Amino acid sequence: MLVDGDLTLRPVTEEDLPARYAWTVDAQTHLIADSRPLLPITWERYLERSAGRPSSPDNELYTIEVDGRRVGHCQLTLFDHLARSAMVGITLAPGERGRHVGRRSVRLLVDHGFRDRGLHRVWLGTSSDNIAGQRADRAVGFVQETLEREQSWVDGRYVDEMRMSILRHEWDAVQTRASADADG
Amino acid sequence: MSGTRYKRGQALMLTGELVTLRPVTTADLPLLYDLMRDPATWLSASDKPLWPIPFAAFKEMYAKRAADEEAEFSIEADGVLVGRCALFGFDVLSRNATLGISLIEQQRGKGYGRDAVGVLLDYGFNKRNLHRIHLDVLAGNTPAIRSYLSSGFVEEGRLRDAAYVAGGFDDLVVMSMLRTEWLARL
Repeated sequence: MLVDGDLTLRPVTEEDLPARYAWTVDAQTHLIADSRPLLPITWERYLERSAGRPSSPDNELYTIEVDGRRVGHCQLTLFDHLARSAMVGITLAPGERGRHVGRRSVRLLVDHGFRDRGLHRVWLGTSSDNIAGQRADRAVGFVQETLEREQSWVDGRYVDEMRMSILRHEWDAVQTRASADADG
Repeated sequence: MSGTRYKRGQALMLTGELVTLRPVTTADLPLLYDLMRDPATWLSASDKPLWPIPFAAFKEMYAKRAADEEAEFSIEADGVLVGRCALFGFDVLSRNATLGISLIEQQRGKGYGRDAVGVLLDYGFNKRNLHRIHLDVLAGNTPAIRSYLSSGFVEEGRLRDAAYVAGGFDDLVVMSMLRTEWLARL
């Protein structure tokens, strides 16, 4: 469990699956969270697909809770054990955005990645028109590295994608600043 | 610049000015095995750390690529195998794929790489109707970066310390070409 005040990242359970299914088939959430085509996927097929990608040391899946209420899910995945990097992904339920739950969850994952998983680099990918997401990621300390032109077909048009990352020494500097602010 | 020869009963051949791209045959495998185990080219051909891959596992890897319908080619020049190249990771929704190429050490610097890339671009955009072809390359591999730029690829950024090679971290340079850019070069 990763905890920050009222916010908790906990292991996924079977009880989470109906909510995750609802977010997956919600067209708006899907466009933000999933690079795969939007499919008319049944509940049964969704269960099969989820069983094929269980939580594991190389695919850490978390449910995000605020005061015990499920508001989204996130993951630390695509571990590269040679370059010591991994990718962060996050999906918030519609109606839960804009309250800093995303950036606080990403902070917990980044801290866990560097502190417990010995990572050198944590990265993420986002659509270039996801301005709110980028603002949150920059607030955590992520740096934009690429602008990948017309990389994704989203809802009738091509959009650019960007990749962002934070390196261990940058996260250490963020932590040092945060504790200096707390002391000062 | 390039053409297609496709006769009855004959394998697909894509021809450039210097090289021919053709299917990988069993006879190619020993040389391609040696090429892959070259530490300098390992990362361009594998997503795993350098390890003593047995020949049997190497053959399985190629069989899997064929089964996954990745477009894996052997590169021939003057009837001699000089390397391999591929388009892989096809995204059927966004219509893009990744380009990869490795040349046998003694065959570098002769223009084969650039010619093969041109043939692959023609294959990707013309035969496979791609919208975008991308690649990443080690920042330290300046000859390759220069060659990709001269083929018309555009640098889109650098993934900092995203690769670990020969005792240290290196950036990966992300490059791409869009269909419109390819058409404008013809």
